[in-house]
Amino acid sequence: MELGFNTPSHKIELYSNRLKEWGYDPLPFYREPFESPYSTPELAKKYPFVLTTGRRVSTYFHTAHRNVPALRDIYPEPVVEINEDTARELGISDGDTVRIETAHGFAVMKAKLTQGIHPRVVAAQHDWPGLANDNRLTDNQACAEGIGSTTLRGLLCNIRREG
Amino acid sequence: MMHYAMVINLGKCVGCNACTAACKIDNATGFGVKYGRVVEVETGKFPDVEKLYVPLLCMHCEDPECLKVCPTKATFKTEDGVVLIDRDKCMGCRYCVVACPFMARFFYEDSKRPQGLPRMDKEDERLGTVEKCDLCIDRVKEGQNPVCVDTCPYQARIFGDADDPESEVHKLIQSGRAKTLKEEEGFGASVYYIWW
Repeated sequence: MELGFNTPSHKIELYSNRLKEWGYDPLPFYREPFESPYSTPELAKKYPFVLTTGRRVSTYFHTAHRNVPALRDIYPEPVVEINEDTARELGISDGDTVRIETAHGFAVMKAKLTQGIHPRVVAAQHDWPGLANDNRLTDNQACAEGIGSTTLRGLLCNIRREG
Repeated sequence: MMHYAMVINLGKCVGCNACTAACKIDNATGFGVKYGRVVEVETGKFPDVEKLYVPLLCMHCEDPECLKVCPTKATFKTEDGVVLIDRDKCMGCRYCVVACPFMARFFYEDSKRPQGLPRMDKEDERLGTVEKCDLCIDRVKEGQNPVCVDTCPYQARIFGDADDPESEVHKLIQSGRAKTLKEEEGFGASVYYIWW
């Protein structure tokens, strides 16, 4: 067996010859997300916050273990993190049920106020079922060219208190 | 003399709650009942924010408030420094739940019965009484550590006899690095913390 990674050079390829063969930029590059205050300023007026759905909980592993009673007791509810000062402006308190809306759908979670997040960013947890399912918020068509990964972070959203 | 003590190194705790899960399973506690838990403490303002995870459990105080308020003397302290509850004497008045400065006590009622866990014989015994961390005294008597100590993936918890000059907990306490919570308010305890 040959040593190394499963790449043409058997090394970690920052410069990817495969991507080049397929006609894509062989080096990593930055592009503004499909939706952002800069790429879609009109949409950003309706959805002024940047949403990331990458927030993990160490108690669970992706969708697994949510029905283990001892674990569910540690982390009983889906949580969306929002900056304390932003939440105050929106009239959202810690533990409030909130509705997150994007151009693609909405989800309902519990708000957690923190100073550890940028005032314009909202961080939702992923892999909860039902109305808290973060896949209701994302755009399945917005994929990175060549790679194909979907936009799970860097969406535009609005957030408000439910009811 | 034997004096069981625990030292928790906060510099090693990442807040994974493995201790909480192990404690809940080992003691088959009901929903909302956590003998041990990890609280998040956030300080500062964006972008200069620090987060600290502090595992809490019964501190097994030197002079326990819960013991003082108990009208039936159900709460007692052993010679080893462990605070325990005699279930046969507890009438569920919950004075101790209010008196405990660390919110370490829980009243076990029907709505808190564990769902989906194997029913244990001791479950019904607990109903209508107050329960809390007993420092896994059954395990300790068999020469094992409390389950939270053994479960911690980062060895943030050290358990031992504080009166044994050779033990690690003794050395940490004597060095002054390990301190109890609310020390300035005069709370002596068997659970110590190392703040970095």
